[in-house]
Amino acid sequence: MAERREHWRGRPQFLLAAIGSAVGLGNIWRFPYVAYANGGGAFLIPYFVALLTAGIPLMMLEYALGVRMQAGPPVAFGRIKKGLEWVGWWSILAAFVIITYYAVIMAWCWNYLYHSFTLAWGADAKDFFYSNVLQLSKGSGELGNPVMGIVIGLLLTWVVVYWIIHKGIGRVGKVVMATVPIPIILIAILVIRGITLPGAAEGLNFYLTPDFSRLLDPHVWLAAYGQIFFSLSLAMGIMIVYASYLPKRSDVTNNAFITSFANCGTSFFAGFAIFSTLGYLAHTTGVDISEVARAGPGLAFVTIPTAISKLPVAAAFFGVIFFLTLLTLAVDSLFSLVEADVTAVMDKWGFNRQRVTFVICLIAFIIGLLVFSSQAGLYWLDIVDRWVNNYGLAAIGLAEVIVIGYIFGAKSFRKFINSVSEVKVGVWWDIMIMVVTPIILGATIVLSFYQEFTKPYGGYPTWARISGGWAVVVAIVILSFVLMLKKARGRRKTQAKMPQKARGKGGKRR
Amino acid sequence: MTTGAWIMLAFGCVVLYGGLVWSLVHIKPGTSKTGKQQKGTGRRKR
Repeated sequence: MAERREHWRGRPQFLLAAIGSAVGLGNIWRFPYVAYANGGGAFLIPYFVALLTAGIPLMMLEYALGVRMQAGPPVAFGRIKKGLEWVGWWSILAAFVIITYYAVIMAWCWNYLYHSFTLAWGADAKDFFYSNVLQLSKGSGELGNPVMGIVIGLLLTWVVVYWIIHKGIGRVGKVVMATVPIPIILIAILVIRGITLPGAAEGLNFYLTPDFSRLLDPHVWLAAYGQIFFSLSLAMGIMIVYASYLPKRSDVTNNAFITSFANCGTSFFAGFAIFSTLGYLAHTTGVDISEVARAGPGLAFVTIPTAISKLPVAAAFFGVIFFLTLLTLAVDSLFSLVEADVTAVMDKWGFNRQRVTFVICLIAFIIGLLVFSSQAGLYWLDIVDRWVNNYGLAAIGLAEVIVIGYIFGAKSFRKFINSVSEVKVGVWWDIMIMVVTPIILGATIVLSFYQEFTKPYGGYPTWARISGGWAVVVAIVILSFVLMLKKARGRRKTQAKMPQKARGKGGKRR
Repeated sequence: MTTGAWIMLAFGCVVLYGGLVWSLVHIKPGTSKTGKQQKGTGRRKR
């Protein structure tokens, strides 16, 4: 007898889990800066166009694949055509690489949460972050020792993730009921505090005043598509896995609309907290906002802590609120990535969930401990993140749209989507999947290649870019073929509900 | 804030939160469990 696949207990659980996965650190530390750097308020126009023409169609594709195949990416792609299973493994392995360093960023957040009670960074947040918290070495070649504070935070992160994941989708569904609304409420508190500070209006002007001339720059459009693609948790297998835990005839299109709009709405909202605070910082220090505006860890762990320490009242309280926001934003993105890996392994080989979860968490912890928690961890994190995003995820997204658009057939896939969905999609969806998205993702990859060869990323030495960047991407590709060729265990293979036409001899036997 | 900033603030709110509200009102009643209209209870087992 085939085992029954677990299901979400209701649509709200699924939607919250998907929104929690999509809404992550990038919404707070990447979107506001990308918007500011690409035309301010005018950026919202390409951003919205990218959402409608690439983000939502791709989200529909991944949801539909999960709902229809009732399996994680490797098995799902394998059912489309024998020999395409590697596309699924590709996304799963990319997700695995991401969890090894994403957990370390969470470890930094735990450290800062602890330090924010006393505002331990004092007047020099930059020195505190690089010298005290990271104990950063002089270069990527000097790994040094694992930093104890980060190791403790890392261990705490993996214990929390294991606790959430190991019992299955039921516990995930309960956890997201808290971890998704909480950061939204915390961001609202930060927005209210931010916009009532002196200088906030100046900051918001930087964020929102439109420069329409920038719309003629193709880089602005590529930035908009890149932001949409990377912030919706696409091409990492997560949305396919989450949708595979929905019943077989669940809605696809409306769920995609809700998830995508909720994610982008959160990014837009978070921008008010960030830029009003930057406006306040510029106001109190007398420097221009363009001097303090930045993205990534520098924003979250240097600039915002500096602004927090200058708050007139309850600075420690808002420090705690800010780092709690980061932690609650990051945790559901992290466990969704782990869940994607766990489900993929379980679906193919039928191993016990608790054992698979433990092994994946342990391996990711060890890699995080040895590489990203070291004194050179920030350098390696930066290199691996750049390559996995720009070459790995973009290429996986490209492979997904080619498989569905040209091998499965966009028209018949759309027919399935419309047969189960509340909002019907027209032929525009086929055009987006077959033409627009492949062109954009292809252009992103080509542009990244061009930039890499004309101006190597980050000024890192060649050996570091090869071993931390290219080698990781190549290893993901090779390993995805190895995992595809590794035979599924006979019993479990037949347990998976294969479509009649794709069912082999094994399916008959049991 | 500048007029341009206010206009883009309104634009962002309308397209992003308007889009979210639009999709939420398109959820069909009775679809919370399966995404599909639940069968009524009119037909009972004999």
